[in-house]
Amino acid sequence: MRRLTRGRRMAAAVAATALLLAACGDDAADDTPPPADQQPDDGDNGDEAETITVGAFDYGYTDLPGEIAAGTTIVMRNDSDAEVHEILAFRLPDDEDRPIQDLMQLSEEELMPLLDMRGVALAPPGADSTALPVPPLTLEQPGRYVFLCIIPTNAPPDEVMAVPARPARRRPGGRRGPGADLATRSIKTDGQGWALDLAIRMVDLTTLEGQDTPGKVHVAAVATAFPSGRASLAVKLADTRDAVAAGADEIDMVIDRGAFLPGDYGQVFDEIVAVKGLPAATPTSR
Amino acid sequence: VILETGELATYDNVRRASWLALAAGGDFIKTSTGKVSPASTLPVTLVMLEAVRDFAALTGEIRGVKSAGGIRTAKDAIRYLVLVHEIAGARLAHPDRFRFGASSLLNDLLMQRAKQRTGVYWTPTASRSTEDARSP
Repeated sequence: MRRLTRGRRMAAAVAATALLLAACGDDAADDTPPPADQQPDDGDNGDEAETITVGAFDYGYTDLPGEIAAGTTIVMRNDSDAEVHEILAFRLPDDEDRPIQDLMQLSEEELMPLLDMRGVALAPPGADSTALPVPPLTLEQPGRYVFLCIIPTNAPPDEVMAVPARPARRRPGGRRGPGADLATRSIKTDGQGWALDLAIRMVDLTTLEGQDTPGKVHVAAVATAFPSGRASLAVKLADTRDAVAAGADEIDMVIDRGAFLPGDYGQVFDEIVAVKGLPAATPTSR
Repeated sequence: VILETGELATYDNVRRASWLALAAGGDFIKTSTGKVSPASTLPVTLVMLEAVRDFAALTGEIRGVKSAGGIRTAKDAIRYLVLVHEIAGARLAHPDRFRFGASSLLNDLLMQRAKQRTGVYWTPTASRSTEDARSP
């Protein structure tokens, strides 16, 4: 079941670095000085947003300048012939001045809080990152950035590319209830097929209409004054007995809302117990 | 035991009715008969799943939930499955414990499965004509 978002894949990948992943870009880049008053230098010369192309190959990037203007868009060209490569661009905190080599020695727990992901470029072998429907990697804010490539090296490229390449969705704030993700979560092919199969097995074909015929699966019968639930207990019990005698494996009973809503819970309870307690082919009240 | 949640008005009542039915020995609690609208909804199912979960925690007995009515598409069904899994866990996400009472759902589920295999979802006209052919 593959339903990983960028965020989760990151976490999983970093957690498993020693086992199956290679960090292919451990180069520092983009050493624009931090001060905030030094805003976009492309503002004064009227330059439109610049685009540079960076090559990626095993364990490194090529053509990556040490410094670029704020607002530059980076296109990544994958120069390898078999592996997927990516650029995950993280901005370092303004007060972080250790060299990149030192940062790479840090443990995951120490390093991750320093990294603020600002964008991604991803490309299959032999292509560049404009080929994919991913927002372009444009770095707007001056500062020091680290580029990393975190791709499982033991997975086939098409599988890697199937992982949706988008930045982790930021939660709009506030804690979200367990149901909030239901409408937005995306389930991919394998998981979807599994879920569909499960759902198919869960469908009951009883329609509670007169046309249901015995012999299809098991027989479920409605009894107990369906659908209102309003009848005397004696009538309901007789109903149920008839249904069981006619071969019902399950009894669908309806609670008596006329008793429940005014708060006569004892009566509702007793009726269920009575119907359930009938002898015969141990009908289960579903 | 059908609660007919469409007539229970409040979630408190749904919870109370669920608990009552479970305590009285109902093997399954079911949202609706299909004769009353609204039938099954996600929030109502959530309340019922919580009741089953809590009942299991209290007594160790795992009962079932059946959502009936109003679930027409595979996407809806998957939302319910996610809900079942997140509220009551994997042991409830099983055909013996959670069921859909929705005959119109089956068509879309099968079609979606076929679409995964073949890449084609039958056109509405095509599927409608088979339905017509089936009904007398």
